[in-house]
Amino acid sequence: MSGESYPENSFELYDQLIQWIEAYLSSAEHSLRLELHLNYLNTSSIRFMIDIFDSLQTAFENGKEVLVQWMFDDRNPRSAELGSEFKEDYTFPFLILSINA
Amino acid sequence: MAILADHRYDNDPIRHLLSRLWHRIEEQVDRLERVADISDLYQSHVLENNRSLANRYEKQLRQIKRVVRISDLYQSSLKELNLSLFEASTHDSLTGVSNRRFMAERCLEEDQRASRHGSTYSMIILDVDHFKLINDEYGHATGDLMLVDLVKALSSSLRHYDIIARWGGEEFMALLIDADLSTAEIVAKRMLSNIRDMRVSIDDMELNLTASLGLTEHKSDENYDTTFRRADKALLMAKNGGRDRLVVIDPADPLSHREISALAAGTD
Repeated sequence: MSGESYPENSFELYDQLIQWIEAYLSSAEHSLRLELHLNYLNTSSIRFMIDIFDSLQTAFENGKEVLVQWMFDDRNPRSAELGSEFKEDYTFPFLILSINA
Repeated sequence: MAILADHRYDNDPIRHLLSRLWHRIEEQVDRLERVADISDLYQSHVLENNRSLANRYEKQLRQIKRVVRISDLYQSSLKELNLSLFEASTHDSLTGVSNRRFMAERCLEEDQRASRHGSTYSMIILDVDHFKLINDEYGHATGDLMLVDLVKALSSSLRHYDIIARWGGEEFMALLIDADLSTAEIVAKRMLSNIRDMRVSIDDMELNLTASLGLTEHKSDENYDTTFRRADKALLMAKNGGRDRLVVIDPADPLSHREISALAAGTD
């Protein structure tokens, strides 16, 4: 996923995504890698991103292979900081990577 | 109990009543204990329920705090971006001074201030002499370096509330706020002197440059465009007069001008 997110109705957009992720992860042999280039999220989008990470965490605790790659541009050091704020308590692999590397 | 157990009272008429009373007491105690048990069970159930609600509340509170923190971070990064875009749109990227757009806006504000409060301002237009030759002979990178140093020399000549802008390629404009012609002339002479003293070291060479300056004061009831044209006319006269000099046009006597080339030592 890449870009900026400030939809008028975040639920409409993210609900489909969350449902897809949960359905995908409920199948036994699936692993999931999320590559994120997010420049801007409005407040409700942040909430849904946390919901997504929460369901990844649950899947991980149930033995699923999940990986998040949070990509940031060196020119915007705030973005790396945001990645670590999102990462916070999660124990699944959550990498914060520079796109310039 | 002791009396009921004692056979001496077997035939006592009250014994029967006492026995029934005792039986009822035992029943009541039994009932009370059952009520207490049920009540305890109910209370522990409520307690457990409260605990799990408190946990959920704590979890949601933590989530809200996270959302708020992350949202604040996004907002402050937007604010920073906004600021740098503002800088980029109002400043010259090479020299860091205001650009033409910003200066035009400031001139408009000064016009309005002048008509409201009767304040004045003066304007200096400056053009580097034969800048094309510097670029042709030493390359554009050297030309750029010289412009950067020139801006330093110009800025250090200003009073702290004056504004300087890059108006065109090698043309600069200074807006001297609340300065009448005699005050502005001191600043303009300081510019001329600082430019003459300027030396730019490139490789093994020491380069210098000269500039021509036109100065005039704003006249009440005219807009900055008219002031600008008069200052530009003074600049043209400085060019035609042999460059490396200052020409002053007094708005009270716009058909004549004064040319200043030689500077007294220690001009300030």
